[in-house]
Amino acid sequence: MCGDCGCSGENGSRRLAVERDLLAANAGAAAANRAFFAERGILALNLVSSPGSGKTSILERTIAEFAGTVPVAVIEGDQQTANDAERIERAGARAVQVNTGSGCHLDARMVADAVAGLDPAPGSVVFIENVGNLVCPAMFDLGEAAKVAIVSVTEGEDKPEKYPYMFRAASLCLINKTDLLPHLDCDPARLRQSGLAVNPGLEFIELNAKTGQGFSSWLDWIGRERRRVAG
Amino acid sequence: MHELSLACEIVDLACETAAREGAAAVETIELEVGLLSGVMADALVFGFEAACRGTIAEDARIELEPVPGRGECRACGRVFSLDAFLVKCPGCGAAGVEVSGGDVLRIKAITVR
Ligand SMILES: Nc1nc2c(ncn2[C@@H]2O[C@H](COP(=O)(O)OP(=O)(O)OP(=O)(O)O)[C@@H](O)[C@H]2O)c(=O)[nH]1
Ligand SMILES: [Mg+2]
Ligand SMILES: [Zn+2]
Repeated sequence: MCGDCGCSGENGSRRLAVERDLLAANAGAAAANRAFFAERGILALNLVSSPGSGKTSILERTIAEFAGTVPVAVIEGDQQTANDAERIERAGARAVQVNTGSGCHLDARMVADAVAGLDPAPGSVVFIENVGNLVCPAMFDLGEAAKVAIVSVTEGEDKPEKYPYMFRAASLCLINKTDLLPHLDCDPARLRQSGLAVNPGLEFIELNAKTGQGFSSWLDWIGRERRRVAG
Repeated sequence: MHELSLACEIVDLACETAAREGAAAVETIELEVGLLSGVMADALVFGFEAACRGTIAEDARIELEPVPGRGECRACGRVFSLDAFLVKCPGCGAAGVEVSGGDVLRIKAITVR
């Protein structure tokens, strides 16, 4: 290659510097979402897990617990159907369903559109239920304050080590369906160890979305994060 | 797969840059891919082959530069490069390893004619 202009000297090829991040567009939209949430003192949480870990069930109970005290809005991401948004509305919160079609994750632009439709109240909590998938959502910043990974006890103790990107990106891990422990060989202590191996700062709360066991710790955690965003 | 949406961004960025410079075709695309970015290089190239069809980057070759992460052992202080999420220090075997970098996903340059 010619040192002066970058041309190959043979067939007129030129080398052009680009130096652009592939996720730059998403990062820009995520920063705008984050600024929007910060301005209104809104706590936005990005809920990530494998399909069926209990995300919507946890949200239904959380909404019931917060009824009349904390305004809640929910963005529901699924490849298809509006089932989860309907469940959330029946539980008493406002919801927008985002269908990603063949897409495997929500991105920050989808969340920006959904937030514009929801117009969440200042001081509210916005839950973003991501598409059930422990791989892709780890890469896409949505502008949330924190990612909350949910793992149910039926999924195996070593889930965090199998999906390290997600558990590294999360701040809190909810261990759900603890009512099923008597039927399984799952030791929640081993699950915690696996999480700490990939993310030494990860926090854990054991939950049972059927009975509400553990919800006081989860609600306290949300309260702490709300005070943090309120400044 | 998110690799396909990333591949579309690669094609868009490459074609945009080439068109701005009045080029007729993109010949190569130089990419930096972090080994801890969660992106599979094979899937990215596969996605690119689908995404580039009918664009001026249709015949472009992808040149991948893998970028490792950096690990630092909290117990013995050893610093080493990481090509995967390793949970134990290769020196002393301790589990507390501080991981940084290795998550870049970047188009460095393209060649056009
Ligand atoms: N036993 C038990 N079942 C639960 C618990 N939480 C959720 N489930 C059940 O698990 C199934 C899936 O729950 P959902 O809340 O729909 O899970 P999800 O993570 O929202 O699922 P997707 O949105 O499809 O990924 C349902 O049959 C729930 O009733 C729990 O704590 N204990
Ligand atoms: Mg759901
Ligand atoms: Zn060491």
